[in-house]
Amino acid sequence: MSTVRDPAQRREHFDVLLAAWLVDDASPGDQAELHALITAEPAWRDELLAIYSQHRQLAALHSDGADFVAGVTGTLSVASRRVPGSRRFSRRRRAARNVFPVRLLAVAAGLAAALVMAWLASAAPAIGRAERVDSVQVVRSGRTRALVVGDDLRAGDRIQAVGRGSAALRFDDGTFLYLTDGRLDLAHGARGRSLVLAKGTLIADVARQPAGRPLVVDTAHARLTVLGTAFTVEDDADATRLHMEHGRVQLARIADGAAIVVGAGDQVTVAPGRPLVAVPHALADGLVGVWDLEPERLPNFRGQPLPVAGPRGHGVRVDRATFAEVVLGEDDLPFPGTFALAAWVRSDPGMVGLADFVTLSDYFSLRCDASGRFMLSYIDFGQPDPAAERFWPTRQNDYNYILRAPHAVAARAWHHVLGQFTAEGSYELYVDGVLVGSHRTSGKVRHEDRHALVIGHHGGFDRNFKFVGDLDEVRVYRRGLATDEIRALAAAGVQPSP
Amino acid sequence: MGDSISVANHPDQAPGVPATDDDQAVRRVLAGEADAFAGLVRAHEYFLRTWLAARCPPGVDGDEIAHRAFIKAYQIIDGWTLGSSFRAWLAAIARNLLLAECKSARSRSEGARRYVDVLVARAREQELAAEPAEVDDRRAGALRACLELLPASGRQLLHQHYAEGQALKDLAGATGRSTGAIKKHLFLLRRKLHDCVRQRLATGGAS
Repeated sequence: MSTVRDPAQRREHFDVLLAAWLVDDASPGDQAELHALITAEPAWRDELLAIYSQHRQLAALHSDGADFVAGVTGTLSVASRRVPGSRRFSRRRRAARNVFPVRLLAVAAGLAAALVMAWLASAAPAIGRAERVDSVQVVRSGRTRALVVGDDLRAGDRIQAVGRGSAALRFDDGTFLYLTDGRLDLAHGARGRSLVLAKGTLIADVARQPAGRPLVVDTAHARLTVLGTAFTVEDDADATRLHMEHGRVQLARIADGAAIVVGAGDQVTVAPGRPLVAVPHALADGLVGVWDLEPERLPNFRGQPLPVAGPRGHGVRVDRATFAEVVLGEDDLPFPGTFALAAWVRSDPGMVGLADFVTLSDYFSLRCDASGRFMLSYIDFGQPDPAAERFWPTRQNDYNYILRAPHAVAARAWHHVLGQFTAEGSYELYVDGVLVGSHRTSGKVRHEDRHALVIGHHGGFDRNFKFVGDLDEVRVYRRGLATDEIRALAAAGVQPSP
Repeated sequence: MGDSISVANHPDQAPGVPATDDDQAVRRVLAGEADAFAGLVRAHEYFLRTWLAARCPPGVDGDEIAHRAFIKAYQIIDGWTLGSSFRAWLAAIARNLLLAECKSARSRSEGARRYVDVLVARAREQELAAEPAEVDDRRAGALRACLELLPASGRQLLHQHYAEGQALKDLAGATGRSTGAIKKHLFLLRRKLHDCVRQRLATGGAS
């Protein structure tokens, strides 16, 4: 809501917000403020509607009518294979029937259809050509035929692979597209070019697009707005996956409109129930999930998680009564197998004793104390190792081990903590990208049928070791990470201003 | 250079083609004359596109609707009554297409919490539903006339932004001004045009 009270200032504020909204530069907060202002001032609402109409008319006045006519006639040349109006001969056409005998009209219309097709086909603008083709068809106005090298591409075309077919297409502006095993619809409207990908994989190297007229790629799950870049997008029934090579793309999730900008080297998967987060390519391999803890994407917390500024956007502040449990799929972490668990954490000096901030059920916990000393607690049923520190040293046959960082790190600062079980059979603990403890075992990790990621305290039956402090971006991998990758994760955080 | 800037892509055809010309054109389409429908598109595209532009909510491309309306008109051209207004018939087709798009745009905007966009889409739906059968688009004519009254520098800026699609940042870079200054200049031009159009419509000077 706007807090501006003075009428003149309110008016000026309205003008600023309206100017921003007209050029699509109003944030959700701006939109909320503008909406509040026009709701309170009906005259301003009318003014906004009128100015917006005029804004759109200005664009129409300045656009090229010849292009538009060519676009319509071009579509007609491929969209209409029958005589216009021939499907019925209504009462409304009696006047016409009086003028044109039916038989003569039918013959004339048949000739006309051929002429229209020939004339309009020559007038339809081509937007590109097929450069390489392997088992691909083009559908133009409902007619399907094989696409061949050198064929013109036109707005309205559907390019579809037969089986594992593929096609390399190039637009007139130099944009290169490579489609495999899928279907791609081409369109060219006043706002620029657009593509609709339905299943399959599309590799794109997009030439710089005119200002204000980006290339838009739609899939079932996402809309990509592209100004000029190289990327690969895969679409199937479950998800859309975007891999960026260079440049930047704005990606909007169809389901809720949530949007992120995806940069070079990043990958995003858009699927129901998954957080909308960009991750580096290499670090996307084996990734089970990322919980970025943004306010609008919190997992189901009990208690009151408060938003805080974290090293990866927003994080949450949790207390002893606040925790979340996320059930992972059975295939997410196959056992026996390797895995890694990571989080950004800032412990609170008021915390008492030991606390688990993220845990996989009750067999693998990232733990700390108020001083800022981090630990990895895990259960392993391998051959007992007397050299390793056990959590309950006096108990017989206890398989609960603990790795402790040798030193405390600064409390009340954010740290990146990662624990993992590697393919070499080692448990490892990293703090801020540095290995601080490891333990090699025979590798009998405790098996669980049901894996729960618990944020805020220990998992399993005994929900103790309650954490007090701040958390951000929790990640789970089904593999052990290399040291370079762990360093990259730790380096990706930015300490927020106090 | 500034004085040469205009919106001259369209000839002054906005007031329209006499109904008898439309009759002739449709008869020719039905009789199989190849370029007759293209002639109808040329005759009415300016009207339909500016008429739609004024009624489109955010996220809906008026040219796309106009495109589809012409295709639809071609497909059902035997449904038009000879001697009636082709323009009104075309606008009715476009209105139905736009109404469906408004609903869809409103739904998308609600999902994305774009509050102002939702309001505009809803207002457009109501306006379209209440639109009189007689199509009247004096607003576009008034806007065109008002554009000619702007200083050359203003017309040039509008041309660069709307016709050439130059972004605010590019315009700022080219003129050595800040993006904010360009945004404000554009906004003042729009307001000036708005006042001019309102005045012309009130005094009947649009057409």
